[in-house]
Amino acid sequence: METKPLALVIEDNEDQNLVFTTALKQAGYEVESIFNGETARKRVAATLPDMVILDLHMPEVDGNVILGDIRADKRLQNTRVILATADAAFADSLQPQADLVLLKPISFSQLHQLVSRYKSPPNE
Amino acid sequence: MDETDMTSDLRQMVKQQVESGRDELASLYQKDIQELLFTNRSGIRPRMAAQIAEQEMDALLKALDGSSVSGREHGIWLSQIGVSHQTLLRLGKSTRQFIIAHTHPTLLLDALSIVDQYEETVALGFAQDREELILAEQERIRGALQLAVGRYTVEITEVKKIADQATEANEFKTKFIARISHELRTPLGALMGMAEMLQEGVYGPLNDQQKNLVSRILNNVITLSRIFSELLDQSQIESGQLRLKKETFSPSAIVESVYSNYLSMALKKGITLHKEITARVPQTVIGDQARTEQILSNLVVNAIKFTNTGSVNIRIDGQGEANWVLRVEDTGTGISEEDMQTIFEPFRQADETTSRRYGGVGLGLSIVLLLVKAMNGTIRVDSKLGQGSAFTVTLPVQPAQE
Repeated sequence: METKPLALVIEDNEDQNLVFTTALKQAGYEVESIFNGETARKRVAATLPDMVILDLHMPEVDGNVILGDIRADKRLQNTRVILATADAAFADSLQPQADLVLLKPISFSQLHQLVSRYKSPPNE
Repeated sequence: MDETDMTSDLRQMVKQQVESGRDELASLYQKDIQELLFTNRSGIRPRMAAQIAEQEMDALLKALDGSSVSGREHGIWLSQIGVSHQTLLRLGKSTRQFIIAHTHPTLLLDALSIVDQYEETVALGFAQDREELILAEQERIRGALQLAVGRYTVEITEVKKIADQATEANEFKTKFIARISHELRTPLGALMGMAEMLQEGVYGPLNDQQKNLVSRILNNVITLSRIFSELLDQSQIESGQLRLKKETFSPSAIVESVYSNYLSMALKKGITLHKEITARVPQTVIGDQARTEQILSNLVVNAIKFTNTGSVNIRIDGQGEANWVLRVEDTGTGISEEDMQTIFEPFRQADETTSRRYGGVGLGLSIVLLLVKAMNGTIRVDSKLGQGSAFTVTLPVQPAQE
Protein backbone atom coordinates (compact mmCIF):
# COMPACT_ATOMS: atom_id res chain seq x y z
CA MET A 1 0.00 0.00 0.00
CA GLU A 2 1.20 3.47 -0.92
CA THR A 3 2.18 5.57 2.11
CA LYS A 4 0.83 9.10 2.19
CA PRO A 5 3.30 12.00 2.31
CA LEU A 6 3.40 13.78 5.69
CA ALA A 7 2.45 17.44 6.07
CA LEU A 8 2.67 19.67 9.15
CA VAL A 9 0.23 22.56 9.30
CA ILE A 10 1.80 25.12 11.67
CA GLU A 11 -0.76 27.87 12.30
CA ASP A 12 -1.92 29.25 15.65
CA ASN A 13 -5.38 30.33 14.48
CA GLU A 14 -7.53 27.22 15.01
CA ASP A 15 -10.07 28.02 12.29
CA GLN A 16 -7.39 28.79 9.74
CA ASN A 17 -5.53 25.64 10.79
CA LEU A 18 -8.67 23.58 10.18
CA VAL A 19 -9.00 24.99 6.64
CA PHE A 20 -5.35 24.28 5.76
CA THR A 21 -5.48 20.83 7.35
CA THR A 22 -8.63 19.93 5.40
CA ALA A 23 -7.15 21.14 2.09
CA LEU A 24 -4.04 18.97 2.63
CA LYS A 25 -6.02 15.92 3.73
CA GLN A 26 -8.20 16.27 0.63
CA ALA A 27 -5.07 16.44 -1.48
CA GLY A 28 -3.95 13.10 -0.03
CA TYR A 29 -1.54 14.06 2.75
CA GLU A 30 -1.22 12.61 6.22
CA VAL A 31 -1.58 15.83 8.28
CA GLU A 32 -0.47 16.86 11.75
CA SER A 33 -1.93 20.17 12.94
CA ILE A 34 0.29 22.26 15.20
CA PHE A 35 -0.73 25.46 16.99
CA ASN A 36 2.45 26.93 18.46
CA GLY A 37 6.03 27.55 17.47
CA GLU A 38 7.83 25.61 20.18
CA THR A 39 5.88 22.39 19.51
CA ALA A 40 6.41 22.96 15.79
CA ARG A 41 10.23 22.98 16.17
CA LYS A 42 10.15 19.66 18.03
CA ARG A 43 7.68 17.99 15.65
CA VAL A 44 9.56 19.13 12.53
CA ALA A 45 12.77 17.51 13.86
CA ALA A 46 10.94 14.36 15.03
CA THR A 47 8.71 13.67 12.02
CA LEU A 48 10.82 14.96 9.07
CA PRO A 49 7.74 16.04 7.05
CA ASP A 50 7.50 16.25 3.24
CA MET A 51 5.44 19.42 3.36
CA VAL A 52 5.14 22.29 5.87
CA ILE A 53 2.49 24.99 5.81
CA LEU A 54 3.98 27.71 7.98
CA ASP A 55 2.44 30.79 9.57
CA LEU A 56 4.93 33.52 10.50
CA HIS A 57 3.56 35.24 13.61
CA MET A 58 3.00 32.66 16.34
CA PRO A 59 3.26 32.39 20.12
CA GLU A 60 6.67 31.40 21.56
CA VAL A 61 8.58 30.91 18.30
CA ASP A 62 7.97 32.77 15.03
CA GLY A 63 7.77 30.99 11.69
CA ASN A 64 11.04 32.43 10.39
CA VAL A 65 12.95 30.53 13.11
CA ILE A 66 11.26 27.28 12.12
CA LEU A 67 12.03 28.00 8.46
CA GLY A 68 15.68 28.54 9.44
CA ASP A 69 15.68 25.18 11.30
CA ILE A 70 14.29 23.36 8.27
CA ARG A 71 16.75 24.90 5.81
CA ALA A 72 19.68 24.11 8.14
CA ASP A 73 18.72 20.44 8.56
CA LYS A 74 20.20 18.10 5.92
CA ARG A 75 17.52 15.50 6.61
CA LEU A 76 14.92 18.02 5.45
CA GLN A 77 16.49 18.83 2.05
CA ASN A 78 13.37 17.72 0.17
CA THR A 79 10.86 19.31 2.51
CA ARG A 80 8.61 21.83 0.79
CA VAL A 81 7.76 24.93 2.81
CA ILE A 82 4.76 27.10 1.96
CA LEU A 83 4.62 30.33 3.96
CA ALA A 84 1.03 31.28 4.73
CA THR A 85 0.92 34.75 6.22
CA ALA A 86 -0.80 38.12 6.27
CA ASP A 87 2.48 39.97 6.73
CA ALA A 88 3.60 40.76 3.18
CA ALA A 89 6.77 42.62 4.17
CA PHE A 90 7.98 39.84 6.49
CA ALA A 91 7.14 37.21 3.85
CA ASP A 92 9.04 39.16 1.18
CA SER A 93 12.22 39.01 3.21
CA LEU A 94 11.88 35.21 3.61
CA GLN A 95 10.80 34.46 0.06
CA PRO A 96 14.22 33.14 -1.11
CA GLN A 97 14.12 30.41 1.57
CA ALA A 98 10.53 29.34 0.93
CA ASP A 99 9.16 27.20 -1.87
CA LEU A 100 6.09 29.38 -2.06
CA VAL A 101 4.61 32.40 -0.28
CA LEU A 102 0.85 32.67 0.01
CA LEU A 103 -0.73 35.84 1.38
CA LYS A 104 -3.85 35.56 3.52
CA PRO A 105 -6.71 35.34 2.84
CA ILE A 106 -5.75 32.09 1.08
CA SER A 107 -8.24 30.29 -1.09
CA PHE A 108 -9.03 26.73 0.01
CA SER A 109 -9.29 25.43 -3.53
CA GLN A 110 -6.10 27.20 -4.61
CA LEU A 111 -4.15 25.67 -1.72
CA HIS A 112 -5.72 22.30 -2.47
CA GLN A 113 -4.53 22.46 -6.10
CA LEU A 114 -1.06 23.67 -5.16
CA VAL A 115 -0.34 20.98 -2.59
CA SER A 116 -1.72 18.30 -4.94
CA ARG A 117 0.81 19.40 -7.52
CA TYR A 118 3.64 19.28 -4.93
CA LYS A 119 2.74 15.77 -3.76
CA SER A 120 5.41 13.91 -5.68
CA PRO A 121 8.86 14.48 -4.10
CA PRO A 122 10.99 16.98 -6.12
CA ASN A 123 13.74 14.45 -6.96
CA GLU A 124 11.48 11.99 -8.69
CA MET B 1 57.31 137.77 14.99
CA ASP B 2 56.91 134.11 15.73
CA GLU B 3 54.64 131.80 13.92
CA THR B 4 51.82 131.92 16.50
CA ASP B 5 51.67 135.71 16.32
CA MET B 6 51.66 135.57 12.56
CA THR B 7 48.83 133.05 12.59
CA SER B 8 46.98 135.16 15.11
CA ASP B 9 47.37 138.29 12.93
CA LEU B 10 46.23 136.37 9.91
CA ARG B 11 43.21 135.10 11.79
CA GLN B 12 42.33 138.66 12.78
CA MET B 13 42.60 139.85 9.21
CA VAL B 14 40.49 137.01 7.84
CA LYS B 15 38.01 137.63 10.65
CA GLN B 16 37.73 141.29 9.65
CA GLN B 17 37.11 140.29 6.05
CA VAL B 18 34.41 137.84 7.09
CA GLU B 19 32.75 140.39 9.42
CA SER B 20 32.65 143.06 6.75
CA GLY B 21 31.01 140.66 4.32
CA ARG B 22 28.93 138.93 6.97
CA ASP B 23 25.55 139.51 5.31
CA GLU B 24 26.80 138.28 1.98
CA LEU B 25 28.29 135.06 3.46
CA ALA B 26 25.19 134.50 5.62
CA SER B 27 22.95 134.68 2.57
CA LEU B 28 25.24 132.21 0.75
CA TYR B 29 24.94 129.82 3.72
CA GLN B 30 21.22 130.37 3.96
CA LYS B 31 20.79 129.45 0.31
CA ASP B 32 22.82 126.25 0.70
CA ILE B 33 21.09 125.23 3.91
CA GLN B 34 17.69 125.91 2.42
CA GLU B 35 18.49 123.76 -0.61
CA LEU B 36 20.15 120.92 1.16
CA LEU B 37 18.57 120.79 4.58
CA PHE B 38 14.98 121.81 4.09
CA THR B 39 14.19 120.37 0.70
CA ASN B 40 10.58 119.20 0.81
CA ARG B 41 10.07 120.56 4.34
CA SER B 42 7.86 123.59 3.88
CA GLY B 43 6.68 126.06 6.57
CA ILE B 44 9.45 127.25 8.90
CA ARG B 45 12.02 126.90 6.17
CA PRO B 46 13.37 130.49 5.67
CA ARG B 47 13.59 131.44 9.35
CA MET B 48 15.28 128.21 10.41
CA ALA B 49 17.74 128.47 7.53
CA ALA B 50 18.59 132.05 8.52
CA GLN B 51 19.12 131.03 12.14
CA ILE B 52 21.44 128.16 11.22
CA ALA B 53 23.31 130.44 8.82
CA GLU B 54 23.79 133.05 11.60
CA GLN B 55 25.00 130.39 14.03
CA GLU B 56 27.38 129.05 11.40
CA MET B 57 28.76 132.54 10.91
CA ASP B 58 29.24 133.05 14.68
CA ALA B 59 30.98 129.73 14.96
CA LEU B 60 33.29 130.56 12.05
CA LEU B 61 34.17 133.93 13.62
CA LYS B 62 34.80 132.31 17.02
CA ALA B 63 37.06 129.80 15.34
CA LEU B 64 38.95 132.63 13.69
CA ASP B 65 39.48 134.08 17.20
CA GLY B 66 41.57 130.97 17.80
CA SER B 67 39.31 128.65 19.74
CA SER B 68 39.26 125.52 17.56
CA VAL B 69 37.25 123.66 20.23
CA SER B 70 34.18 125.65 19.31
CA GLY B 71 34.62 124.46 15.71
CA ARG B 72 34.30 120.87 16.93
CA GLU B 73 31.29 121.72 19.12
CA HIS B 74 29.74 123.42 16.14
CA GLY B 75 30.23 120.26 14.07
CA ILE B 76 28.47 118.18 16.70
CA TRP B 77 25.66 120.71 16.91
CA LEU B 78 25.23 120.68 13.10
CA SER B 79 25.04 116.91 13.05
CA GLN B 80 22.50 116.90 15.87
CA ILE B 81 20.05 119.24 14.18
CA GLY B 82 20.24 116.96 11.16
CA VAL B 83 22.59 118.90 8.87
CA SER B 84 23.99 116.34 6.50
CA HIS B 85 27.61 115.86 5.58
CA GLN B 86 26.68 117.06 2.12
CA THR B 87 25.47 120.43 3.54
CA LEU B 88 28.64 120.75 5.55
CA LEU B 89 30.76 120.30 2.41
CA ARG B 90 28.65 122.91 0.63
CA LEU B 91 29.11 125.40 3.52
CA GLY B 92 32.87 124.89 3.27
CA LYS B 93 32.77 125.56 -0.44
CA SER B 94 30.77 128.77 0.13
CA THR B 95 33.24 129.89 2.77
CA ARG B 96 36.17 129.31 0.43
CA GLN B 97 34.43 131.12 -2.42
CA PHE B 98 33.77 134.04 -0.09
CA ILE B 99 37.43 134.17 1.10
CA ILE B 100 38.68 134.01 -2.49
CA ALA B 101 36.35 136.84 -3.49
CA HIS B 102 37.10 139.18 -0.53
CA THR B 103 40.63 138.54 0.75
CA HIS B 104 43.74 140.30 -0.47
CA PRO B 105 45.69 138.01 -2.89
CA THR B 106 48.86 137.97 -0.71
CA LEU B 107 46.82 136.75 2.30
CA LEU B 108 44.74 134.34 0.30
CA LEU B 109 46.64 131.04 0.77
CA ASP B 110 47.10 131.58 4.50
CA ALA B 111 43.48 132.65 4.92
CA LEU B 112 42.30 129.55 3.06
CA SER B 113 44.45 127.29 5.23
CA ILE B 114 42.95 128.87 8.40
CA VAL B 115 39.44 128.33 7.06
CA ASP B 116 40.40 124.77 6.05
CA GLN B 117 41.54 124.10 9.63
CA TYR B 118 38.23 125.40 10.90
CA GLU B 119 36.36 123.15 8.48
CA GLU B 120 38.45 120.17 9.46
CA THR B 121 37.58 120.64 13.12
CA VAL B 122 33.91 121.08 12.27
CA ALA B 123 34.01 118.01 10.03
CA LEU B 124 35.82 116.07 12.76
CA GLY B 125 33.22 117.10 15.34
CA PHE B 126 30.50 116.19 12.88
CA ALA B 127 32.07 112.80 12.20
CA GLN B 128 32.64 112.04 15.89
CA ASP B 129 29.09 112.79 16.78
CA ARG B 130 27.96 110.83 13.74
CA GLU B 131 30.07 107.97 14.93
CA GLU B 132 28.09 107.92 18.13
CA LEU B 133 24.87 108.12 16.18
CA ILE B 134 26.04 105.30 13.93
CA LEU B 135 27.12 103.21 16.92
CA ALA B 136 23.76 103.85 18.60
CA GLU B 137 21.96 102.89 15.40
CA GLN B 138 24.04 99.73 15.08
CA GLU B 139 23.23 98.88 18.68
CA ARG B 140 19.54 99.41 18.02
CA ILE B 141 19.61 97.23 14.89
CA ARG B 142 21.55 94.52 16.72
CA GLY B 143 18.96 94.55 19.50
CA ALA B 144 16.07 94.36 17.06
CA LEU B 145 17.84 91.57 15.22
CA GLN B 146 18.42 89.61 18.41
CA LEU B 147 14.78 90.04 19.34
CA ALA B 148 13.71 88.86 15.88
CA VAL B 149 16.10 85.91 16.00
CA GLY B 150 14.76 85.04 19.43
CA ARG B 151 11.18 85.12 18.22
CA TYR B 152 12.13 83.21 15.09
CA THR B 153 13.85 80.53 17.17
CA VAL B 154 10.73 80.14 19.30
CA GLU B 155 8.58 79.91 16.17
CA ILE B 156 10.92 77.38 14.55
CA THR B 157 10.80 75.26 17.69
CA GLU B 158 7.01 75.43 17.68
CA VAL B 159 6.78 74.58 13.99
CA LYS B 160 9.24 71.71 14.45
CA LYS B 161 7.20 70.40 17.35
CA ILE B 162 4.01 70.50 15.29
CA ALA B 163 5.80 68.85 12.34
CA ASP B 164 7.15 66.14 14.63
CA GLN B 165 3.70 65.52 16.01
CA ALA B 166 2.27 65.33 12.49
CA THR B 167 4.98 62.87 11.43
CA GLU B 168 4.36 60.82 14.54
CA ALA B 169 0.61 60.80 13.87
CA ASN B 170 1.24 59.80 10.27
CA GLU B 171 3.63 57.03 11.27
CA PHE B 172 1.09 55.83 13.80
CA LYS B 173 -1.59 55.84 11.10
CA THR B 174 0.59 53.76 8.76
CA LYS B 175 1.48 51.29 11.53
CA PHE B 176 -2.12 51.18 12.69
CA ILE B 177 -3.45 50.40 9.22
CA ALA B 178 -0.74 47.77 8.64
CA ARG B 179 -1.52 46.15 11.99
CA ILE B 180 -5.31 46.23 11.53
CA SER B 181 -5.07 44.96 8.00
CA HIS B 182 -2.80 42.13 9.19
CA GLU B 183 -5.05 41.26 12.13
CA LEU B 184 -8.15 41.24 9.93
CA ARG B 185 -6.64 39.02 7.27
CA THR B 186 -6.29 36.03 9.56
CA PRO B 187 -10.00 35.70 10.46
CA LEU B 188 -10.83 36.67 6.90
CA GLY B 189 -8.67 33.77 5.69
CA ALA B 190 -10.52 31.39 7.99
CA LEU B 191 -13.91 32.69 6.78
CA MET B 192 -12.92 32.38 3.16
CA GLY B 193 -11.46 28.90 3.57
CA MET B 194 -14.46 27.58 5.46
CA ALA B 195 -16.99 29.00 3.01
CA GLU B 196 -15.01 27.36 0.21
CA MET B 197 -14.93 24.05 2.09
CA LEU B 198 -18.72 24.12 2.14
CA GLN B 199 -18.84 25.14 -1.53
CA GLU B 200 -16.47 22.32 -2.53
CA GLY B 201 -18.73 19.84 -0.79
CA VAL B 202 -16.12 18.72 1.76
CA TYR B 203 -18.97 17.96 4.16
CA GLY B 204 -21.37 16.65 1.55
CA PRO B 205 -23.32 18.20 -1.33
CA LEU B 206 -25.29 21.47 -0.83
CA ASN B 207 -28.72 22.23 -2.17
CA ASP B 208 -29.16 25.21 -4.53
CA GLN B 209 -30.20 27.64 -1.82
CA GLN B 210 -27.21 26.70 0.33
CA LYS B 211 -24.86 27.01 -2.66
CA ASN B 212 -26.29 30.46 -3.41
CA LEU B 213 -25.79 31.67 0.16
CA VAL B 214 -22.26 30.30 0.40
CA SER B 215 -21.28 31.98 -2.85
CA ARG B 216 -22.67 35.28 -1.50
CA ILE B 217 -20.61 34.85 1.67
CA LEU B 218 -17.52 34.30 -0.46
CA ASN B 219 -18.17 37.37 -2.60
CA ASN B 220 -18.46 39.51 0.50
CA VAL B 221 -15.26 38.08 1.94
CA ILE B 222 -13.43 38.84 -1.31
CA THR B 223 -14.77 42.41 -1.29
CA LEU B 224 -13.63 42.91 2.32
CA SER B 225 -10.24 41.51 1.50
CA ARG B 226 -9.87 43.90 -1.45
CA ILE B 227 -10.79 46.89 0.72
CA PHE B 228 -8.14 45.97 3.30
CA SER B 229 -5.54 45.56 0.58
CA GLU B 230 -6.39 48.96 -0.88
CA LEU B 231 -6.22 50.67 2.52
CA LEU B 232 -2.87 49.05 3.22
CA ASP B 233 -1.51 49.91 -0.24
CA GLN B 234 -2.62 53.53 -0.01
CA SER B 235 -1.05 54.02 3.39
CA GLN B 236 2.19 52.20 2.51
CA ILE B 237 2.70 53.96 -0.80
CA GLU B 238 1.91 57.33 0.81
CA SER B 239 4.42 56.73 3.57
CA GLY B 240 7.09 55.75 1.03
CA GLN B 241 7.27 52.12 2.19
CA LEU B 242 6.51 50.72 -1.25
CA ARG B 243 9.42 48.73 -2.71
CA LEU B 244 9.00 48.26 -6.45
CA LYS B 245 10.55 45.08 -7.81
CA LYS B 246 12.73 45.00 -10.89
CA GLU B 247 11.75 41.83 -12.68
CA THR B 248 11.36 40.93 -16.34
CA PHE B 249 7.79 40.36 -17.41
CA SER B 250 5.59 40.34 -20.47
CA PRO B 251 3.04 43.19 -20.80
CA SER B 252 0.73 40.99 -22.86
CA ALA B 253 0.66 38.38 -20.05
CA ILE B 254 -0.68 41.09 -17.74
CA VAL B 255 -3.44 41.92 -20.19
CA GLU B 256 -4.36 38.25 -20.56
CA SER B 257 -4.49 37.79 -16.80
CA VAL B 258 -6.60 40.90 -16.12
CA TYR B 259 -8.87 40.04 -19.05
CA SER B 260 -9.60 36.54 -17.76
CA ASN B 261 -10.04 37.78 -14.16
CA TYR B 262 -12.67 40.38 -15.04
CA LEU B 263 -14.42 38.85 -18.05
CA SER B 264 -17.18 37.36 -15.90
CA MET B 265 -17.67 40.64 -14.02
CA ALA B 266 -18.25 42.40 -17.37
CA LEU B 267 -20.50 39.66 -18.71
CA LYS B 268 -22.61 39.79 -15.54
CA LYS B 269 -23.30 43.47 -16.28
CA GLY B 270 -24.15 42.66 -19.89
CA ILE B 271 -21.18 44.57 -21.34
CA THR B 272 -18.34 43.24 -23.47
CA LEU B 273 -14.68 43.25 -22.49
CA HIS B 274 -12.18 43.53 -25.37
CA LYS B 275 -8.41 43.22 -25.40
CA GLU B 276 -6.03 44.45 -28.04
CA ILE B 277 -2.26 43.87 -28.06
CA THR B 278 -0.51 45.66 -30.91
CA ALA B 279 2.61 44.38 -32.66
CA ARG B 280 4.63 47.28 -31.25
CA VAL B 281 4.29 46.09 -27.63
CA PRO B 282 7.71 45.05 -26.29
CA GLN B 283 8.01 41.28 -25.65
CA THR B 284 9.33 41.96 -22.17
CA VAL B 285 9.79 44.97 -19.94
CA ILE B 286 11.53 45.44 -16.59
CA GLY B 287 9.46 46.52 -13.60
CA ASP B 288 7.11 45.28 -10.91
CA GLN B 289 4.75 42.81 -12.54
CA ALA B 290 2.20 42.55 -9.71
CA ARG B 291 2.00 46.33 -9.25
CA THR B 292 1.68 46.91 -13.00
CA GLU B 293 -1.13 44.36 -13.08
CA GLN B 294 -2.72 46.20 -10.16
CA ILE B 295 -2.75 49.44 -12.19
CA LEU B 296 -4.50 47.68 -15.07
CA SER B 297 -6.96 45.80 -12.80
CA ASN B 298 -7.96 48.97 -10.96
CA LEU B 299 -8.59 50.78 -14.25
CA VAL B 300 -10.56 47.84 -15.67
CA VAL B 301 -12.66 47.37 -12.48
CA ASN B 302 -13.43 51.09 -12.51
CA ALA B 303 -14.39 51.04 -16.18
CA ILE B 304 -16.72 48.06 -15.68
CA LYS B 305 -18.27 49.68 -12.58
CA PHE B 306 -19.13 52.87 -14.43
CA THR B 307 -20.29 51.30 -17.70
CA ASN B 308 -23.85 50.07 -17.97
CA THR B 309 -24.10 49.46 -21.70
CA GLY B 310 -21.52 48.94 -24.41
CA SER B 311 -17.97 47.83 -23.80
CA VAL B 312 -14.67 48.17 -22.01
CA ASN B 313 -11.56 47.96 -24.17
CA ILE B 314 -8.05 47.13 -22.91
CA ARG B 315 -5.33 48.11 -25.36
CA ILE B 316 -1.55 47.98 -24.98
CA ASP B 317 0.88 49.48 -27.41
CA GLY B 318 4.55 50.36 -27.74
CA GLN B 319 5.69 53.98 -27.79
CA GLY B 320 9.14 54.49 -29.26
CA GLU B 321 12.04 52.53 -27.77
CA ALA B 322 11.68 53.67 -24.21
CA ASN B 323 7.99 53.44 -23.33
CA TRP B 324 4.90 51.30 -23.55
CA VAL B 325 1.27 52.31 -23.15
CA LEU B 326 -1.69 50.80 -21.30
CA ARG B 327 -5.07 52.15 -22.31
CA VAL B 328 -8.50 51.36 -20.86
CA GLU B 329 -11.48 52.81 -22.74
CA ASP B 330 -15.13 52.52 -21.83
CA THR B 331 -18.52 53.62 -23.09
CA GLY B 332 -19.65 54.44 -19.55
CA THR B 333 -20.97 57.43 -17.67
CA GLY B 334 -17.91 59.59 -18.30
CA ILE B 335 -16.46 62.23 -15.98
CA SER B 336 -17.47 65.89 -15.81
CA GLU B 337 -14.77 68.55 -16.10
CA GLU B 338 -15.34 69.48 -12.48
CA ASP B 339 -14.98 65.91 -11.19
CA MET B 340 -11.84 65.46 -13.29
CA GLN B 341 -9.98 67.56 -10.67
CA THR B 342 -10.66 65.15 -7.82
CA ILE B 343 -10.87 61.63 -9.25
CA PHE B 344 -7.28 60.82 -8.24
CA GLU B 345 -7.75 61.97 -4.65
CA PRO B 346 -8.07 59.19 -2.06
CA PHE B 347 -11.55 58.31 -0.75
CA ARG B 348 -13.16 60.20 -3.64
CA GLN B 349 -15.61 59.11 -6.20
CA ALA B 350 -16.78 61.43 -8.92
CA ASP B 351 -20.29 61.43 -7.52
CA GLU B 352 -20.61 60.93 -3.76
CA THR B 353 -23.67 58.76 -4.36
CA THR B 354 -21.62 56.40 -6.51
CA SER B 355 -20.01 54.83 -3.46
CA ARG B 356 -23.43 53.60 -2.47
CA ARG B 357 -24.30 52.50 -5.98
CA TYR B 358 -20.94 51.10 -7.09
CA GLY B 359 -19.25 50.09 -3.84
CA GLY B 360 -15.59 50.44 -3.01
CA VAL B 361 -13.87 52.97 -0.77
CA GLY B 362 -12.61 55.20 -3.55
CA LEU B 363 -8.94 54.29 -3.43
CA GLY B 364 -8.59 52.56 -6.81
CA LEU B 365 -7.56 55.58 -8.89
CA SER B 366 -5.57 57.13 -6.07
CA ILE B 367 -3.46 53.97 -5.88
CA VAL B 368 -3.14 53.91 -9.68
CA LEU B 369 -1.76 57.46 -9.64
CA LEU B 370 0.66 56.75 -6.76
CA LEU B 371 1.94 53.59 -8.49
CA VAL B 372 2.30 55.26 -11.90
CA LYS B 373 4.28 58.08 -10.25
CA ALA B 374 6.48 55.61 -8.35
CA MET B 375 7.24 53.87 -11.68
CA ASN B 376 8.16 57.21 -13.31
CA GLY B 377 5.25 56.86 -15.69
CA THR B 378 2.44 59.23 -16.66
CA ILE B 379 -1.34 58.96 -16.73
CA ARG B 380 -3.83 60.84 -18.88
CA VAL B 381 -7.62 60.90 -18.73
CA ASP B 382 -9.84 61.75 -21.69
CA SER B 383 -13.49 61.89 -20.80
CA LYS B 384 -16.73 63.76 -21.25
CA LEU B 385 -19.88 63.34 -19.20
CA GLY B 386 -22.08 60.77 -20.93
CA GLN B 387 -19.47 59.91 -23.54
CA GLY B 388 -17.25 57.37 -21.80
CA SER B 389 -13.70 57.64 -20.51
CA ALA B 390 -10.21 56.66 -21.61
CA PHE B 391 -7.30 56.26 -19.17
CA THR B 392 -3.88 56.15 -20.80
CA VAL B 393 -0.86 55.07 -18.73
CA THR B 394 2.62 55.40 -20.21
CA LEU B 395 5.35 53.37 -18.49
CA PRO B 396 9.09 53.08 -19.12
CA VAL B 397 10.31 49.82 -20.68
CA GLN B 398 12.97 49.74 -17.99
CA PRO B 399 13.39 51.79 -14.85
CA ALA B 400 15.84 54.71 -14.95
CA GLN B 401 19.33 53.90 -13.64
CA GLU B 402 19.72 55.07 -10.07
